[in-house]
Amino acid sequence: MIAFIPKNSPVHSIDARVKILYFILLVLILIIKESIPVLVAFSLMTLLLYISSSIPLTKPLRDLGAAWVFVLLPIPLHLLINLQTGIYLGILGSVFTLNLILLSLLMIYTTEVKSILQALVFFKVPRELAFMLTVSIRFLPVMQERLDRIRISQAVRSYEPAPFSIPIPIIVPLLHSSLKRAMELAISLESRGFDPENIHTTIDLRLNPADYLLLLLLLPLLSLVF
Amino acid sequence: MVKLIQISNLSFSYGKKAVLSNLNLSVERGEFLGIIGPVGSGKSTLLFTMNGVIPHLINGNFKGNVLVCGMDTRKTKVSELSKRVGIVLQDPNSQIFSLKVWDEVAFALENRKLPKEEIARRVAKYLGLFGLESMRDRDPNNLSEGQKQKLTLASTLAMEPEIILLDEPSSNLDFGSAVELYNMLKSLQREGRTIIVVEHDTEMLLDNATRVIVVKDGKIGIDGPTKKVLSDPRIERYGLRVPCPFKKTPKSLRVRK
Ligand SMILES: Nc1ncnc2c1ncn2[C@@H]1O[C@H](COP(=O)(O)OP(=O)(O)OP(=O)(O)O)[C@@H](O)[C@H]1O
Ligand SMILES: [Mg+2]
Repeated sequence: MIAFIPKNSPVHSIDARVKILYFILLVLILIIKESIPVLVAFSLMTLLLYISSSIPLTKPLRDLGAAWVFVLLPIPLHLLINLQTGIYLGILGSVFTLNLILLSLLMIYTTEVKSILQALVFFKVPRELAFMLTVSIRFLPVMQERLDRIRISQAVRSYEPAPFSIPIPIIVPLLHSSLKRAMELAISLESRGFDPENIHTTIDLRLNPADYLLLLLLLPLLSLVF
Repeated sequence: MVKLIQISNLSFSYGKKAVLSNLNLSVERGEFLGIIGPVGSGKSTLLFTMNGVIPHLINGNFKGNVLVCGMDTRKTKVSELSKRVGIVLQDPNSQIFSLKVWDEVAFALENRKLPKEEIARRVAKYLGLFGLESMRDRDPNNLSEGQKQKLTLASTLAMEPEIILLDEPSSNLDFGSAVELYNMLKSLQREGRTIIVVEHDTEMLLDNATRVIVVKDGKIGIDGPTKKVLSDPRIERYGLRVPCPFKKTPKSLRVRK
């Protein structure tokens, strides 16, 4: 399940706001300084972060599920463009995408949805947008489960997706039920007095000494980018 | 006397085909109203007009007037109406959104900005009533369907609304839990609350409802005291379940001469 995993690790205890800042910075470095040494260093860092968060790397790799397609997509794409260098560039692209996904997942595994919402509101993201973002994070596990159920219910009716084709009988009900879910969720939230034009979020995030240290370290890292 | 809910000349359609057409209904304070009707007859749609979800959140063609506690639903926000009307939807999966059972029940109370102690008291009370107190820290997504149903019931009842709307609340429950739920609703009604429930299980209504309406072809086909409606011969013709005490031998089983 792609959801918060309560644990007592250093990564878990970092303030959500600091995590978001680092996330943005790291992604920026990865995009701007695209090179093999950076990519290698980056992959090592992702690995280290997972180890210190005590979340086994097998967890995101399993959670990826069908999204592996997106990770591997650069390889055939680059091969199409150039047969000689394609495989090389394609693998680099795949490692790049994999790093991005692993980091995003780590954010979700180690941060409570509530803290993410508060951090977004702290950074002055419009409240409605922040709320929508956090609700979608919240609904990842629900979607996953939904996907499994649809897969089963189509399989018991002898459906087998052909390789390299778009599995319409799975995608269509998934989209449909997600839309229906979203609609019903809105109904249920507003029926319980939730007013989207008037979201009140109290921010009870607190910075620890370690967070201040990380914020200081952010400065030299920033100079790396520019 | 002003009725608690007053629906007059209500027509509604999602697209071209009318789901409700020129429907009239009034409900008084303290009634326990059962709504029955064939599949797709518009029962859920009718419930949604009673707390402003239609026309505010669901698009369609809305004509007529709905007054709830004297408020015109067209002019009142859903979150405002929710202070008087609570609703439990058909599918528990699309209502639950918190990461912890406890938070789910506290959600509506926090929206109302109740004091912390009051929230804690009510959450404990309603989790207890549904036998969920041992699961307070669990992720609601991992509960069984029946437990999820109980959680959505607890979450809405904890709001202690004057009017409680329920859409097939017993469909995921075992018989014992369904009976418990209806006992709970009955005692809420005795406290003076108004209960409106869509229910396929007519026997459950026979034991609890004070009045039953049958939705058929976008209108209210039959309306009256529970016993009278449920013993009406049209019930069987509409394909609805005739409760046991009124059941005759089905035609197909009768000996032909
Ligand atoms: N969102 C929607 N968009 C379009 N049509 C809808 C929508 N919701 C319901 N309908 C249609 O409106 C009619 C009434 O639906 P409604 O859900 O109110 O029926 P119901 O009596 O509650 O049925 P059930 O017993 O199956 O719950 C149905 O014919 C249905 O197909
Ligand atoms: Mg319905």
